[in-house]
Formats: sequence, C-alpha cells, structure tokens
Amino acid sequence: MRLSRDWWAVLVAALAVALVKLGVIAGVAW
Amino acid sequence: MTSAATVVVDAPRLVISPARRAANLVPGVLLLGVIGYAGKFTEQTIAAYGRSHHLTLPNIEYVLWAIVFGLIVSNVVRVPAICEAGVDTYEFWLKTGIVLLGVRFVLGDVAKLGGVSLACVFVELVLAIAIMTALGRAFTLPPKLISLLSIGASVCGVSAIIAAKGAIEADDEDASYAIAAILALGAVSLVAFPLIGHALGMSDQAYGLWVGLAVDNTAEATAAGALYSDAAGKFAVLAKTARNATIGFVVLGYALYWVRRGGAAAIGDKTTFLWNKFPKFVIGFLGISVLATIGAFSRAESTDLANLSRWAFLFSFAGIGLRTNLRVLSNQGWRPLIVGVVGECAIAGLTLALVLGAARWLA
Repeated sequence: MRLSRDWWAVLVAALAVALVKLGVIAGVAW
Repeated sequence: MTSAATVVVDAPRLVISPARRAANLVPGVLLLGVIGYAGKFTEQTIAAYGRSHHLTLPNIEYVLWAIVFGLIVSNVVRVPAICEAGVDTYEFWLKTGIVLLGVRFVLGDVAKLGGVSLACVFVELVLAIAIMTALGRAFTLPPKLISLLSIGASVCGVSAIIAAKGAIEADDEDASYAIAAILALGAVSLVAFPLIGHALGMSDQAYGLWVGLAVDNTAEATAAGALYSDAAGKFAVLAKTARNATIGFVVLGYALYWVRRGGAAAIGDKTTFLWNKFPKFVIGFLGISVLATIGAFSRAESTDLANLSRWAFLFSFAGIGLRTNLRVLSNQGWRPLIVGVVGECAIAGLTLALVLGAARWLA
C-alpha cells in the first residue's frame, strides 16, 4: 500500500516532533 | 517457462525500489532548497545593505523572491528533467509546513478563528458556486468545465479540481483549462492581495482570513498571506485549511449531481467517499495543536517546530514558481480565463466585504 502525500506530510511532521522532543533537533534558526 | 521468463525480463523495468525512488527526488528537492534559500538570502542581503547605508529600501519578502527565481528558472532556463520528480514534492513540503504550523495555534484559537472561518467558508462556497455557474453559463462553457471551475473557485484550487475530475468523469482538457485558470489567477493574487490589504490597512487576522477565503490554491494562499506578514500567513493557512476540509462535501455534491444527470458512475459508500477526499494533513495540524494546547512543548521546542515549518514553506514557495509555465497558461484559451478573472474578482470583492463584516468577531 502506498501512502498518500498527505499521510507522508503527517508522518514526517510527527518524526520532526519526536526528534525535537528527543533533543536530536535543537536550535533551529530562521 | 515463457511466463517466468516474462516476469524476469519485465520485473526490473516495472519495479522501482523505494531507495531508487527516493534518490530520484534528490536533485529536484535540492533545486527547491537552493531557490528558496536564494530568496531568503536576497531579502536579508537587501535589508542588510539598506541598514549599513542608512537607506529605507522596500522590504520584499523572501516569498516573492523565491517565486520569482522559480519562475525565471521554469520559463527561461526550463526545469531540468532530472529535477522534475523532486520539484513535484513542493506540495508535500507545503502540507508538512501546515502540519508543523499547528504548534503556533492552541485549540482555543483554532476553535475561535476556525469557527469564524468555517462560517465565512460556508457563505463563500455558496457565493463562489453561484457566481461561477452563472458566468460559465453566460459564456456557454461546457457544463463539466463549469463544475470544475466552480469547485476550484469555491474550495481549494488544483487539489479540488483533480479530486472532482475523477468523481464527475470530466475530460482532461476541461481539467487542464480549469487548473490553468486557477493557477493564473493565483499568480495575480500574490501581487494584488498584499497591495489591497496594505491600502485598506487590514489587520493580520482580517487579511489572513480574506486570503484564506479568496485565494484558491493552498500554496498561493499561504504565500499571499506570508507576503503580508508572518502572522497573516498563519491566519491565511488556518482559514484555507478550514476551507480545504469541505472538499469532500463539495465534490460529493457535484458527483451526485452528475450521477443524477447520467454523466458519471454511481457512488458506493458516501462515508468512504468523504474520507477518501478529506485532506488528511488537517488531522496532523489538529494533532500538533492539541499537543501545543496541553503544554507538551517547551518554548524552545515550539520555536524549533515553528522554524521547521517556515523551512518547509520555503521549499514549497520555490516550487510555486518552478511549476508555473507561463506559456502553457497563455495557451489555454481566453473564455475560461475571462470567466475565472471576472468570477474571482467578484468572489474577492464579496469575501472582502464578508471579512470586514466579520472583523468584530476576530478581535
């Protein structure tokens, strides 16, 4: 089964949340 | 023996491994990143030059630079074939950015602003469908093209047209006409909406709501909001997301209309149909809003997620320019475009009046 683009977006965002919570991603500048 | 040999011969040609598919995306994603960052770099460089030389230069947001650089590449140099698959991911970056933007809304905001937005969306849907249908009939456009233009103008641009195309069994030509009209008008809105918003001195909330209601394609609505201000971009996304959430209902309504007229195949389970058409990234957006509301993120974590959302949008803004081919848009014929222009101007004017009327509930 192929994931739709919408679900990929949700999945990647959830991964980003997890990495930020774990401290793997920190101090993201803009 | 023959069938086994066929399988052995055909399999490598038909099956592309996930790793290979991901690798195919890399050049285009890099192009999105380079063009988006060039836009950001240009904005910062001009601002730094103005500061160091004590000049008051107009602040042109990175959003516009990224779109312009993308337009130059796609219309002058042409997007290299090796980059096309990656450039097509711009919509994925847009949706990822919207999901992560949920961190900047607590549920109270979503309920309040989303509630006002949804009420305005309902009025906008009725107005847009009525205006587009009347204009389409006046210009004797094909009936299914009128349906596609109405769906595109009332809900969410290209996604809605693509969703509806299958449901009402419209021709490819009608779909590309409707998509071209919506994209051409989206490009105009990037310039026109911020100018009108500034001329009227609109608040970030009112402007964001107006853009979310009147600009049809999500990418252009997000960009037109961000061109006004960061806060306006946030409100534009919320209003546009509320509008996107209605896509299933509008497409279902049109599909049932065409089934009754014998112009489309019958629909099975309506709940499944609605679920299939529902934009799932809205669930992710609400999920992150819930986490932000219950205090799951520290201030630093919220800033990190909000900045990741901005980076994702930067990739998608570059994609808006890169996938806009002005020659193709100009070749699509004038009648659908006139219907689109007149209809969208009427919708923009009416939604502006609606937003100004709803302003008391936004404060």
